Amino acid sequence: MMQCRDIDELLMDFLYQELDAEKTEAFRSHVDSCARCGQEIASLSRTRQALQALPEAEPSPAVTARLLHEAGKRAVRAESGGLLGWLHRLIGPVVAHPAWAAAASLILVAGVAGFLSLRGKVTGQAQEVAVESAPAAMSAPAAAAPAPPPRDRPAATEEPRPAEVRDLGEGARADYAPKVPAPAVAQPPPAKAKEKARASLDSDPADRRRLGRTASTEEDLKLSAKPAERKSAPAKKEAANLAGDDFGGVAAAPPPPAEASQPRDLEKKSEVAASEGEREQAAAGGKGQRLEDAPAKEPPAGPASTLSARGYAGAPEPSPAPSAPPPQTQAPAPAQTKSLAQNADEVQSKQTKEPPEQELFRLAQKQATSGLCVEALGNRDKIARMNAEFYRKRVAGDPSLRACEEQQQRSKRPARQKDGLRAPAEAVETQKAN
Amino acid sequence: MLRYQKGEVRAFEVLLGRHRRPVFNFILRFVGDPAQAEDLLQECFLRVIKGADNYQRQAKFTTWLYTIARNLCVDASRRGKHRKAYSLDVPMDQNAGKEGATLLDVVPDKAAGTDRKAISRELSGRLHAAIGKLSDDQREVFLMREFLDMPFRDIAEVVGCPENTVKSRMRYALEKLREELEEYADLAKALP
Repeated sequence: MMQCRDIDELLMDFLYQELDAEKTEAFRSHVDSCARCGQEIASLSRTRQALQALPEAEPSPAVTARLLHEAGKRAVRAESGGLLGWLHRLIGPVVAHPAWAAAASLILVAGVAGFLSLRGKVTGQAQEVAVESAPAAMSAPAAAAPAPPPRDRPAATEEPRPAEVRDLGEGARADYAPKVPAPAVAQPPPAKAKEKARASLDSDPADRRRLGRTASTEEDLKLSAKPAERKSAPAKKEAANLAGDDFGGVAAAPPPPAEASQPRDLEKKSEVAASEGEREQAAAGGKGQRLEDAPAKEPPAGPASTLSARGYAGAPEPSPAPSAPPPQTQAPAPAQTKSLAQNADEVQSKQTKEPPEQELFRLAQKQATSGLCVEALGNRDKIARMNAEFYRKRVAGDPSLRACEEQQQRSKRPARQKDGLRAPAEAVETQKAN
Repeated sequence: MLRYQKGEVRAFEVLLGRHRRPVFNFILRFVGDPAQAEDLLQECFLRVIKGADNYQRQAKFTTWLYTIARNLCVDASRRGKHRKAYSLDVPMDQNAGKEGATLLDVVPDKAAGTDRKAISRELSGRLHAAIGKLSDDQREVFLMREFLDMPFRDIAEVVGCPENTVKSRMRYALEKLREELEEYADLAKALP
């Protein structure tokens, strides 16, 4: 049985129905029998009933919308999760600042403008080079002229002459001494350019043309010069003469300058003309006499390469100077140049069926019949040095050469008797006997 | 709440629809100012959003939510924005004399019927004023128990005091309201 003191302790629980059933029953029993407790509970119940009249208010929809928006932003971060979400939470408030947004926009615009500007410059340069190379490819003299050097090698024109020029023999130097300083294109290409030239030697010229570069670059010049780089001196001179008088220095320079100044289109023309040149050479007989001195490492370039420039020039070959052997063919070319040229020279030498001594012999015969006894005998001596057996079998008994020899002996006998000199043929025979 | 914790916005929408009205009324009855009540309601749910990552399943969501709301109300009260108890009978404009409108006249009431609306409006004004006269400790307990229907155990957890203390505060609050509303007891009886 509950007391009034117990009722005071359980009054709130009873009013708000938090008492269990047993206590509720005991509470009701006491309240029914106790007037004071019953009146207290009735009074508080009326107060609670009056509180129920208090109306409920509704929050404004704007608050709800704002809260949903904020909740959506947080949900995006939660979905991103991981490192990305962490970074977003870290730098998000900083990046969201208007000043940062303005700075980022400025940097973006400046970057795009700079990129477009650089791209425009590069494109303009390529177009400029293409325009420069176009007329060079269309006209031969202009093609032979040295194209403007690349912009990245402005000092090339002041560099010394290449080793090939320095290694020329004295005779050749006397014959082909440049009247103006050698142009820059005569210099051997730098190592990098050589590698490029080697790499693109077997490539299609169209591929090289696609690169947007002209033949005036040194690597391309070297490339176009490869087949004819070991030409005989007259051929070089002819090719050089193609450039015209204005480029005498180029013409006097060794093959690279003369040929280097030709663009790739010219190279094609030269190759086409090579076949014509071969026919012409076969008719002329002795135009490749300079090949006799070609070193063993470098098979004779053959008339094909010699005549390529000649055929391109379309001009008659000037009379050769047999007394002046072309020492430039003996000059040691750069190793890379050799290796590059060997393949082409081998191919060309296979196409040359006649041995050089035979060609030289024909030339000597022709000279002997023409009255050029000095040159004829000089060639005869060369044949003797080249191939003694061939000399004994065919050259020594040649009547035209013997007639020349006798003529020479008659004209020089007094002097020879004085000086004790001998004819070249006799000297050779004496050496062999010794 | 766990679904929203994983990034499901729809879950938060459900939570907001379920709890925004009781929380708003709790805050409104605590601070007495609708504008301030809306600000505090917004702040309350913003704290829920920001604290979603730290929410633990062991805690009851309503307990957590009303703890936030109660703390906001207490802080607002401590900042000096004490709720002012206005007399429902005294004209709000003291310069207007006895002819001015009283608080009872302007308190909104959604009840239908002219007489009933008038009675209810008068009573709700009285109730607002009576609740405003309670101390913060008594008011928060009274509001939670009477209008949010929270058990005393949960209220004790929210306010951080023993359950018996909560019951005592509740009884004192009811007795005080009874004194304030004694003259309107008959008026309350007239309401259905």
